Amino acid sequence: MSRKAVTLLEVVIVTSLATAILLVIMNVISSSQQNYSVGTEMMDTQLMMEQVLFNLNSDFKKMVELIDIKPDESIEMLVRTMDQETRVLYKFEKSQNGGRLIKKTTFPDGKILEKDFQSTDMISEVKFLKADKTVDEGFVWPEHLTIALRVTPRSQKSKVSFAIVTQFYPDSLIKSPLDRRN
Amino acid sequence: MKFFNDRNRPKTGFSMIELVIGIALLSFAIVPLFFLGSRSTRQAFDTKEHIVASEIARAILARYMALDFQKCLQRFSQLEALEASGKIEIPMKLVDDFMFQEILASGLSQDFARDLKRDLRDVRFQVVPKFDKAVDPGEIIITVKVFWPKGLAVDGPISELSVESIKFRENP
Repeated sequence: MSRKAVTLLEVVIVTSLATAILLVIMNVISSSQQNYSVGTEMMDTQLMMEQVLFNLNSDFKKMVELIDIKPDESIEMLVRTMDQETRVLYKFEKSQNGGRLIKKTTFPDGKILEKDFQSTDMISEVKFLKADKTVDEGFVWPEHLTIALRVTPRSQKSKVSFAIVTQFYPDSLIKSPLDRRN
Repeated sequence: MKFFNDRNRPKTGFSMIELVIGIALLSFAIVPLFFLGSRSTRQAFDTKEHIVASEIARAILARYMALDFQKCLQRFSQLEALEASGKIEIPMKLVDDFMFQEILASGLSQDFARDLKRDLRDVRFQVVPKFDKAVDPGEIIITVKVFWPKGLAVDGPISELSVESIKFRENP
């Protein structure tokens, strides 16, 4: 089968089409990378929320102490870990508008890993509220602690921030798996 | 102007129509790429929503577990009466719950309050107790269900997460 070769006009048309497609591909790759970055930030954010809430849950009295400390004071909280040898210490520094959380992990070999959530990749705001009792539709709920947590990735590429609210009650028998084991 | 005139044009090679078809096929092939990035972001959002929902479910369950056994039974009777009289709608909106109201009234920053309202405005929950009403029950199985819209569409599919625990009379 014989074919005619392309003319210059045809070359120009085809090249333009190919360039347009290439631009679309580049745009897709770029937005895909951006989406991946947003996704990673969200993963980090939810992981932090999970860590903070999970560890706070272990000790109601300690949580109540968090409310009583004044702004610019700090409190340290030792967290039990699975292997019993690794020490995880959460240091919470209260500020006027929330707090700053530092996680210090000491491994059995003496190595220390310190992560400051505020100075690395996250900005967090925490609001603690203690209520002695609350009347709801005529029903009196016992003493509890309400915590709201807001986390925003520092990069701010995506302007993603998350907020969560939860409550803790003393002697509620709802314990973390670590507490249940102990 | 033509690079090749018809006389000099070689007799072999691709025709224009073949090239256009080839490029069109390539275009179709790259369409799935569009969905890759958005899917990973969606999955991350879904995980976040599950964590938020599980914290809410855990908090509401903790509320009932902290109550005295008799008071817990009273609360379930009260909820039943409130629903029957049309005073509350079940599943209840989280924004109407005292947990949400208390924290909003506590003086959050503007951004904090905005994010809280945005993230939790469509979340609903329901507490389902199971116990033998004919006798004085010795235990209650309490299930807390949390519902939230999957994705951004409010009328879209609803995701559900539930936690369950047994409350014993001798261990209030």
